[in-house]
Amino acid sequence: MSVRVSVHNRLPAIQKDVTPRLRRAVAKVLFDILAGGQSRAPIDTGALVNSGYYNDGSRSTYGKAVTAARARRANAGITPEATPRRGGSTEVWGTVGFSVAYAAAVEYGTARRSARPFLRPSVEGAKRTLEGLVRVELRGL
Amino acid sequence: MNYATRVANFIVARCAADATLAAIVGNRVFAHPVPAGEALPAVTFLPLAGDTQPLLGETEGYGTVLMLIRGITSGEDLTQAIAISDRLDVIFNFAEGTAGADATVFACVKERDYLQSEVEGDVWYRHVGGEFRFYVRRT
Repeated sequence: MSVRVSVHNRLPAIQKDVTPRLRRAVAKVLFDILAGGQSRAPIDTGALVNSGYYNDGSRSTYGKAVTAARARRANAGITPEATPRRGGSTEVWGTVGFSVAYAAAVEYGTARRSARPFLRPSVEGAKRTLEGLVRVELRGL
Repeated sequence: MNYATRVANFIVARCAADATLAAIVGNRVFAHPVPAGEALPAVTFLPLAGDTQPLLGETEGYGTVLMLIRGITSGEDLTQAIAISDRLDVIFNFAEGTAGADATVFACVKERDYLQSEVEGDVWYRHVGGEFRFYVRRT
């Protein structure tokens, strides 16, 4: 009598499939963060709201956002696109930002002016969303 | 329960009780921004986000409040702002204790450093501090 034990190593296949799934989850949450930030941002000329952008690693809407912000306020100072620290090839990353230079002063206030946080609360709300999205994406691997 | 107001009480009380910080900013600890007419340096705090975490079988378990606490100084030199920020770290990182008559801060963790500079006219303002997450429950 004999018993044959065989192990099929699916790890390489799973590993190959994980990154695109995580990218999908991150892309969705980036969009949520951006939409949440835009819905909370105070509107005067509309430049701040329109200056919001995201970069999911394969696509950046920074250029489009700068054009849209300048259409609302031609003399608005513009900050460079935020660039994340990049880790290894398996790291999944993305950024959300607001390109007008005064965005930080609105979010955090200045020494003598009130703050109107619009992006940070959106990031906080998205943390739970990301956990759920990752769970859904990784189901069935 | 409004957890942010309890955390505000906690911050003001802890800052007032710290002789090292008081030697730098006096009693100038404010909900952001620094009121008109008040001198610098000062400490301000700003709630950025908050959440209530329900516990099983209870409607309210505890709350979290993400608070930006920073020292604000005038002038280009960063030294004083950094000294305030370092003291804020000592006071609040891993702090716990009563927050007003009906709440307790049972944990606090610094999550991010914060650094901002601004120029208004010819005057520089330096902001140095951090984002602290406070965990609060009803006493």
